[in-house]
Amino acid sequence: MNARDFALVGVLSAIALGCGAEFDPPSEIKTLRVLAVQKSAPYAKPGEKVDLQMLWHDGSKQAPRPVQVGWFSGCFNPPGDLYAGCFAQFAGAAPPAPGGPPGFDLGMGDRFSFTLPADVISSRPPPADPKQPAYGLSFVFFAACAGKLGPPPEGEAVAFPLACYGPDDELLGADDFVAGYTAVYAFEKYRNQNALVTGFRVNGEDAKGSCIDGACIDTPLAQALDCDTVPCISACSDDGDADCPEIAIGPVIDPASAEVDQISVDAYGKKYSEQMWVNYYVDRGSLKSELRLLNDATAGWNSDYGTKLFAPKKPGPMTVWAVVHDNRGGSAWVRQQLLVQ
Amino acid sequence: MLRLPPRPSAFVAIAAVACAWAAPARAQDDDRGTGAVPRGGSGAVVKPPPPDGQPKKPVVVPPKLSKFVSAPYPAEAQKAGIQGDVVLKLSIDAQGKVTEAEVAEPAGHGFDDAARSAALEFVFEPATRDGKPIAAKILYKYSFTLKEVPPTPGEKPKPADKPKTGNLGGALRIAGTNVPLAGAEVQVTFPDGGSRRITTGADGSWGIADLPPGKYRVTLRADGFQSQESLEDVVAGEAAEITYRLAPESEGFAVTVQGERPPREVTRRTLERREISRIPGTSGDALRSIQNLPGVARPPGLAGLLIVRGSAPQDTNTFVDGTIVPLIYHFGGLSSVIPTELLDRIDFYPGNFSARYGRVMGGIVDVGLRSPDTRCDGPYGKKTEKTGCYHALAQVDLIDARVLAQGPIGPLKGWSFAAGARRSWIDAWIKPVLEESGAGVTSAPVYWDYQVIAENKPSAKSKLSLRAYGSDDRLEILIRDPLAADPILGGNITFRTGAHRAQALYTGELSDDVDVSSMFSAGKNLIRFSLGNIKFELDTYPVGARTEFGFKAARGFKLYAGYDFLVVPYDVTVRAPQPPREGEPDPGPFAAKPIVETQEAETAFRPAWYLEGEWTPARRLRVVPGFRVDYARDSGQADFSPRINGRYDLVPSTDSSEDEAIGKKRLRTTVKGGVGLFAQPPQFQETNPVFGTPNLESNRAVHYSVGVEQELSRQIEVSLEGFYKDLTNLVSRNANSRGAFTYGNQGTGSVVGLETLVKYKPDARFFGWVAYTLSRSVRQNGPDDDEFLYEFDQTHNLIALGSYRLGRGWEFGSRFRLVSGPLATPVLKPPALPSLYSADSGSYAQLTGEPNSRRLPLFHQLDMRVDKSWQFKDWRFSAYLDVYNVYNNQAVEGLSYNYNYTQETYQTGLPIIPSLGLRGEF
Repeated sequence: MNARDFALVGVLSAIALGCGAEFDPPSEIKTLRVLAVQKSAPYAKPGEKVDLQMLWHDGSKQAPRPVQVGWFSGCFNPPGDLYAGCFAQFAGAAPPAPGGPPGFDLGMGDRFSFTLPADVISSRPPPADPKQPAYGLSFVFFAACAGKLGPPPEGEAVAFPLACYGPDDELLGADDFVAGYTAVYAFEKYRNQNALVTGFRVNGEDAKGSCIDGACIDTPLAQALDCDTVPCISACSDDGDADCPEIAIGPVIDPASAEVDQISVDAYGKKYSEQMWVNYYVDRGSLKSELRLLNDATAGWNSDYGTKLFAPKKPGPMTVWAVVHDNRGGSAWVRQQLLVQ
Repeated sequence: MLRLPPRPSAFVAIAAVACAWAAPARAQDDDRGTGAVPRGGSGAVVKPPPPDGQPKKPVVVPPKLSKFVSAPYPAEAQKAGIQGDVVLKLSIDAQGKVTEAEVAEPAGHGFDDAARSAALEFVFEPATRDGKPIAAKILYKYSFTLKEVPPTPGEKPKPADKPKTGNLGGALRIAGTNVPLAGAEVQVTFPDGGSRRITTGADGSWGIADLPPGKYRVTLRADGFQSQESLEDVVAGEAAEITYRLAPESEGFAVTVQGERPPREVTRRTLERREISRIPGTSGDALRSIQNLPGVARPPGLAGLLIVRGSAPQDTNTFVDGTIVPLIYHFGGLSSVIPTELLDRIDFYPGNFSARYGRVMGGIVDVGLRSPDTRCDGPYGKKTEKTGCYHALAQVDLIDARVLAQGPIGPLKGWSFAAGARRSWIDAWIKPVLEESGAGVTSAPVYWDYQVIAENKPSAKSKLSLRAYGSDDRLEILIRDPLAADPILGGNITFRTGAHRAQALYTGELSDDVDVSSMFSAGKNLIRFSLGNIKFELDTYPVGARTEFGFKAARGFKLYAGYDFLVVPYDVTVRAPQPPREGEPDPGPFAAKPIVETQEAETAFRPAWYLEGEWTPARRLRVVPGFRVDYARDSGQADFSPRINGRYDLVPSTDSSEDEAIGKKRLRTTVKGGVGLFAQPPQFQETNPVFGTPNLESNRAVHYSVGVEQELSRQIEVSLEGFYKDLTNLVSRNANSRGAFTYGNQGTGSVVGLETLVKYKPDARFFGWVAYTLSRSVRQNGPDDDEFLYEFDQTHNLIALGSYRLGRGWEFGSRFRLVSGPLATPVLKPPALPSLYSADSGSYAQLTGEPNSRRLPLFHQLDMRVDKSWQFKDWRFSAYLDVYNVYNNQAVEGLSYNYNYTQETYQTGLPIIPSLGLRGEF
């Protein structure tokens, strides 16, 4: 094998396998994490009210502890359609709201609603390509804080206009404070639906005790489990290592969730479907693949979208989440508790 | 007291190219001959053997001096003790009479007129073509040499005895160069059958004195070079000084890389075929050898990027004999799409290039395909003068299989051909590897390329070459585990690139004073890439035409005028999120970005015209002013680019064995410099109405360079060149008054640097150099923005390499590189968050600090190579072991982060890689 061989193998391996990670996999939740934000209308209409709800989990050793979730909206059509352009808009907004980011709508809790301006489309220049439909864009920002949200310390160079403080007013870092954003696109005639998740399977069988979308927010994790209410799996002495027996898991998803991208059809006569994938998370054990392709825009539905679970060593409850995304802002999820015996 | 030396030795002829009127001498011609240089007669001729594959040439015998007239030594010069050489251009008619004597290289001090007057009275035996007398022009050097005679008052000069013996000697050089070949064996076989062996000196010189008159057979041998024999006359009272040139042994074919600039670009550095094929860590890839020259930054890993003097790779264009080719490597860096065996030369211009090139503001690489080889080999690979033979090569390794054949085209007299093809078979073994990893493989990676050349040389000065060449790379893989950092980067990946060309080249002379070179090409390029719902499809059908006329407008002045047309009908479809430019905030994962699509079918028309002069007012001075006018119909921009280069030999080089014979050994010192304006049209996506902003102007750069070259010995040369590039009108993206980002020409930047090269020129045993480049490249997106280091900035780049022939076919080489680490843009540090969660993709968007504000650790690497060759009677077998990264340094190529950018680690480069190559050829 010469240098060219290695280069080719390296390039292709990087594409096919991903770079070798020396970090904890993102699928293993060990800190406060936001797992998903679902919008009632991933593609909305001007003037439409959009409801958002957040799926989060605190995997920290300090959990359970109070977690504050905050939202703010009010950024429309930022320069370059970049979320970073919103910060300049916020900085120019007046007057600043006492104790919070200036000039935009605030909300607290796991759910938030806002209304798109009626002129969100008409207030921006039309697309350069006349074939493309006009659209408007709004960014909604959020933060989950294992403490108390507040303005960032003065004089510090921070990009995000909120900070998270602990019980002693100490500044909390990324393990205890997650900030993020979601984009809501507005079209006059195009809609996008969230994926339709109907259940969860473990080793090919429909599982009991799963919750879907908003139900997971309303239903806290059960502390007392038995094999009549949730699937039971055997503990693995290797504690989630890849040598553990593989347990096939995955959500049940209606293939109709893969919608046709109607804009491609109307504008260019090409029938692309959505690009879709599934993010998997566990609070114990580990996963063989943490991200799986669900639908390819050209190759279509990938029925092999499930993953393999490697059970933890310690008996007791564990939780698996599967979050389904599409590339047009849609998301849906299912949560499944398991009992490790 | 001073007196004139005896007349017969008062002159030495140099480079007197005796040709018919139809093929006059051209002192600036590059002698690329690889065969012997036959000795001429008095005042005579240095010419390589006839090129291969051309029709039988007429036998031309140069004029021979039959009556010499001594010139009076100018009194003033004699008094002042000044010597001088006057090079004359003599026109000799078919009767042998000198009809015109023109001073080609003046010496001043009264020498010029004296030499010219004397030469007009010379009488020659006329030149002949196939036995018929013809008119001819020759260059003739008339040397005025003072000789000191011990003052003996009252003593009359003693008349010299009539000599009874002569001398035989000269110099040995590497073919195609003036590089001396030291340590070579010269065997002189006497008329009586006896022989004597001597070895050439460090300067390639050799000689045997006091030989009886007669015919002597001279055999020259040097390890690694083709042996050569020649029959020479020794005349009583004369010293035969002959310059021979030995060609390297047939290890493929001769390829030269001309670093920096050819004559019109002031400077030329030459890398021999042996150097290219032996540089460790390059696997013998000719194009990759350029990355070892000063001014070229180290690209990451094995990438085939050419980062020239702090410019982006897209700022440097690559041509094949004047035709632009968009892709020079398979899969971005695996191997050159043109195999080394078919290359004749690589001209590399790192800056201040000639007006014949344009549309870029970085550098130029112009690859020349070789003429088919029809020379016949004798036993054990010995080259002969016979032509009309076929050659073939076959090579197989783990990656690909290649074949190459060349020779005469049987029924077509004067025509020769070369045809090569290569196909990878990595698909056979990499498909199971990919499938084992969980990927679905529709089409495993595969590439192929082909080259066909048909050539005819109707005369020594003209050539017609017809070519077809192309390449194709493709793969299709279904990635079922998308990247966690950006889930849109998964799904069905298709990749295909291809480039195909038909090309015609003609070079010739319209008259004594006008030559022409012309190129026409047409073909197709395609790039197809899709990843999930991201797609890029570009089909182009480029038609290129170049023609250049060279006029000898006056003595010492040649004018070049040419056009360079490029017409490119194209059809492009792009479906992608709009990527950010350097210095802009991270847009977050692509998965959360809106997809924008555009389709366009247009024709880009970019004509250019240029005019360039080559003014040589004195032997030591060359000035090349010129300008170029470019028009880009797609952007509506016309660019005027004036340029001027110059070089002056403070101390001219000893350029002939004859000079050496009369004791003139000089180490050249040259100063050089240039300044010019270079314009580069905006890129497609920048002017596209959907992805960019129409009606952008061209990027502009002013190149300044100044340098000095100094020979330290005949083998070692040092060059030092400082450069500065002032970049203005750069296309950058900024928010406009309506809040949207648009492209504009507000960007500026600069690159400043110093290039140093200490080079040991190849001899029979060794070659090597140390190259060091110090540079700084910065950009500024707009007048109110901060200046930042450009992503291709590389402060220090030190390369030391060498290769030594151990004998018996063994050769050992090594390369060491010490280079500044790559630049990285760090994420924000606490108390700031390093990232934001992008809920639409399920991944994180990094929050970055100052662009390229962090320098990663120094890169250092040692590569080694061992070659061994076996020459059999009818074929040759060779093997090499090239070890990349010998001490397995974990070189840092970038940063890698965890999912939310709170932890980082280094991305490291390739580990130690031993590479074994085997090859057979005849």
